[in-house]
Amino acid sequence: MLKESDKYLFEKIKSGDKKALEVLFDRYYEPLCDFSYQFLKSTDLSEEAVSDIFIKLWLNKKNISFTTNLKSYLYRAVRNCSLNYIKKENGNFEALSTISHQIGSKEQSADYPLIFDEFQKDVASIIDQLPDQQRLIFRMNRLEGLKYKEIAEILNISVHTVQNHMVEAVKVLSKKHTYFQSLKAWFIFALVFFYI
Amino acid sequence: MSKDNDTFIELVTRFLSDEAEEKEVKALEVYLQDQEYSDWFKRISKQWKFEEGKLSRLAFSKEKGKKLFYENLSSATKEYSYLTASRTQRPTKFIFKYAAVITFLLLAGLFLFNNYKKEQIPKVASIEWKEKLTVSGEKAQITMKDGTKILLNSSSKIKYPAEFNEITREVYLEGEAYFEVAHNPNKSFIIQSGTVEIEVLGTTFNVSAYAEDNSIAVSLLEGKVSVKKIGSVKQDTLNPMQQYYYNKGQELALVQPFNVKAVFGWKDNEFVFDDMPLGEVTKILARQYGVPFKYENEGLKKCTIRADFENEPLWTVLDILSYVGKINYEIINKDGKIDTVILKGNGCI
Repeated sequence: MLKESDKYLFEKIKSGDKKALEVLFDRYYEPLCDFSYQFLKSTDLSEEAVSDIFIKLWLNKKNISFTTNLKSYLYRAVRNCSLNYIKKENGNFEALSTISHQIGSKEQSADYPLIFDEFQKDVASIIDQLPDQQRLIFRMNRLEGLKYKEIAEILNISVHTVQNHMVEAVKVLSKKHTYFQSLKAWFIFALVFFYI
Repeated sequence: MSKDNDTFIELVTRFLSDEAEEKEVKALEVYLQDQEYSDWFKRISKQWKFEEGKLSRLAFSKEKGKKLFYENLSSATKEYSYLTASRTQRPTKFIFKYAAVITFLLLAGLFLFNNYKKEQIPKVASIEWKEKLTVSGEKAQITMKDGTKILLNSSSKIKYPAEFNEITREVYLEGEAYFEVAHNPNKSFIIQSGTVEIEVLGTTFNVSAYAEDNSIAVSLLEGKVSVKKIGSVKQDTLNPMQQYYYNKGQELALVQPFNVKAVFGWKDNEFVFDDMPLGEVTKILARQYGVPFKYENEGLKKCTIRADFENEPLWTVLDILSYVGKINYEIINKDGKIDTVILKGNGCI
């Protein structure tokens, strides 16, 4: 019933309750920053973008209305804001096409915090090798718990397209499995050998 | 129904990404009866979970974010008030006076806020937990501070905070319990049990999640609850008279109707066994009567039992079981107490 309490929070925010805004902030700050990073590839700029969205939400609280729910409203707003940043500062950035090419990939940026442990680095994931949009959608669905309908709204595409991307991802997973299993088996074998 | 791979992949995708509706889950189950599809499904879902496990977010500090937010907000509102106030500009002297007063207030506020925060932190960190345990043959009733009533079944354990926090009411359950959750629309009641998490605002329901059972069931009498696997994002919302049933072996969850007496009967020492395998029946009886059961012939466990019991003593239950199941039993006594019940007879296939 997360959605209901979002709705409740938004009612509180509308009536000028800053505590409610802080609760909402705590709930979505990190996921939204991470989402923004998928476009901007800079932690500082992502934080700036998300902070902007919360300020806009607070200042325009009386006039905001949304189609599905507050959660997808926030993601959509963050996406638009991030894309605007890219457009606005195009001179200082790489071209939009190269940036979107990097969406979701992990190693390029120097300010990417070292949160992956050695094991995770060693065994590459199949998802990382998927096309950008597929990877982004998989991430939104699995990590952020967004429904197809919400993803469609946030990315401005049809629900059908979202599903097609997910089906493609599953097809890749189902093909490459055996290869990865053997890779994993070798890894474990090597570990065991090492300890003996 | 004809089966084809494209439809199968689509169903699997929808199921794994928590989009499948009840009829789609049923359609998928039809495919899974086929060994080949079942193996394929297991392979895909294993790889899927592996990929899911590799996803992680970057670390961002909420505290830093909030600071940034308030800084930007104050400059945004300053711009705003500057634009509206620029028509009636005051002499500069006044502005300095105001600035001095505001700076003083801000510093004082910051000082107080910091002290306030320092005092808050240890309070949050030290939650005092309470535990209630029941052994087999025992039940326990708990009434919480918010008015929630819990009846804990045999061989079960519940862990709850002495004081609920400001946002949620969270408890942990092992085994089985009946809940009457006091209504509070602003503070949801969350139960973590086995691999599932149940969230409610106020309702009456039963949770059965014994570690040794191969399923977890949440059955709703009144109100509304939502259930999800811990770590998953898919939520199932139950309406009254619906049951969330999770099969641990197949890792499949479904929502289905249920028999009220069979689920809630234990509260009043009533048991309804509707063609239940004897192995499951004796698991329940062992918990209720605090007596272990042993089988002379393991094949007996597969025999199904159809019987109702209402507040019966153990020997009546055993007599009825031996009559309907065509089995014999032997009671081993030790120190004048029943120590074990041994079941004998021909097994079932």
